[in-house]
Amino acid sequence: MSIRILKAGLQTTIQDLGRQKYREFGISASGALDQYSHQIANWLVGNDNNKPTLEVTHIGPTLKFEQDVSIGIAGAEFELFVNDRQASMNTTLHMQQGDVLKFGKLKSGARAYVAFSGELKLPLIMNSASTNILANFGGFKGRALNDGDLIDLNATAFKETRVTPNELLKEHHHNLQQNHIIVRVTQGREFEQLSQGSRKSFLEESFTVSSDSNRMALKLEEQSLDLKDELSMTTTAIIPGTIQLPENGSPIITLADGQTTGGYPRIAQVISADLSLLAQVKAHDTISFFRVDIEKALEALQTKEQFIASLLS
Amino acid sequence: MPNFSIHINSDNSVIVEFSDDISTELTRYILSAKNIIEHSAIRGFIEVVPAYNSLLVILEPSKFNADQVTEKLQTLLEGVEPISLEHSQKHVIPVCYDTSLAPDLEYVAKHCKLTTDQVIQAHTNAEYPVYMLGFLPGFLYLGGLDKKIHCPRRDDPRSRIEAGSVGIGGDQTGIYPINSPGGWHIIGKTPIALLDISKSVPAIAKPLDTIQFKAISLEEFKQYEH
Repeated sequence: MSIRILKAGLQTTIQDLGRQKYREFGISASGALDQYSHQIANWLVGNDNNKPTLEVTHIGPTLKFEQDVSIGIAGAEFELFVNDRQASMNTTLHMQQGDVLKFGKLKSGARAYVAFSGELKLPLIMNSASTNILANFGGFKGRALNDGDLIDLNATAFKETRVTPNELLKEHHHNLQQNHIIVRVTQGREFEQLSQGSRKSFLEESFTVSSDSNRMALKLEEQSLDLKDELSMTTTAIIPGTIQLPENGSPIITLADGQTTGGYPRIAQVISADLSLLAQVKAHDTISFFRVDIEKALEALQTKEQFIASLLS
Repeated sequence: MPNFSIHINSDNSVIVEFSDDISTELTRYILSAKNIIEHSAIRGFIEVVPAYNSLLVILEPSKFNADQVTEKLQTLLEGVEPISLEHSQKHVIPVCYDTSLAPDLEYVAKHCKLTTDQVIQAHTNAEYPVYMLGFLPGFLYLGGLDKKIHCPRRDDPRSRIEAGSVGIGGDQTGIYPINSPGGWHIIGKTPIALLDISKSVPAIAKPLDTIQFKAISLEEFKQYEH
């Protein structure tokens, strides 16, 4: 049995928690950009955190279910319809054979996640079902979904109806409605090489997300930063959240599909607890950076994980 | 072991930096250090990514203890011996330099004040050491490009370069393993795949292997496609 993709949306891909241990071959992790929303969607249907979900971007898909299945949708706020009747995100939806789920208008954020009770029949590549769009492998045929695709699903019944705890929603959506996020960063290896003015600007000014952003990187528009002195850089490994400064002075934030190596000064690093926020900004939204030390970064992650664990039990 | 220093890179990684110049000798130490780190059961360890003169050690942030990791690495890496070259292989990669597949070959020749045949000769003569992988899945960072054929990158990068395209960018040469945008001058194309996702080692070569390009005709190139 299967899920029929009536309309694919702007960029709908299969993602799980990503593939590890292949960065030395130049292969990035991929995986859900907003791992917290991915986790919530899976929780709504009683799944493990690592089960693949559909990552929906800006314009959502229309899906037809050819069998009974329970689904959970979390992340960016979308209008949602089941058979043209308004439906809710953040609660278990019990779909029946023939039901059509349609994503409507995006209200805030950028990416939502759809989880299914049961197994999507997808090959694991390097231990992950995530789509690597760049290299065209993983997920569904290595690409974003197209109109008319059929994804095989081995559905299992999930009788509960779960609702995402309000505290968790508030935490996650806090910034999104203002189209501005504050992201905590630790100092990058070359932060001290920024000119004094640029160090101040980076931590005090807001930066605008460029429309040229994607799952590889968030590009920022302002060309306001420069270095103290010319710097000769040797290519090193970089990771999601690394903020580099190319010659044009506009910072680039690496995301899950981003290059595994980089040769520009690494001015800062987004803390692990805040990486998911980067998934939810759109072109023209703004970001400001708040510096913390490693202890604070780890504390923030621990607090966030404990908070989530206590609510999703 | 050459001089190294360990720095906290993020809340889930530390970086080992070497002060020596890039060389295959340094890479032998880096790969040896990589092996030792991989077998040392560091708490929360995920992976280690080698580069020209650094190693990035990535861990689970929820188990990250910067001081402990730094201390452990400091002890592990002292007295590391360079890795043996006995497992290093030479790969001969066929490249067709026919102008139909090499849109920038004439430009490079002109820029370097050489004939296209001389560019091809210089490009196929050398044996290039692989220093590291990155940039794109399966992309090999090669050293040893003949100075005669160095050529600055294109001012207007192409939005799409086909997988297998062989390019020169500044003092580097390399092969695009997948379709991608890029700013290098394209001087040829290989018919062989550089990335095989069905393999546990998905890239064609590893650091300290060497690459030599072998010129093939357009007819030979086409035979590979069948």
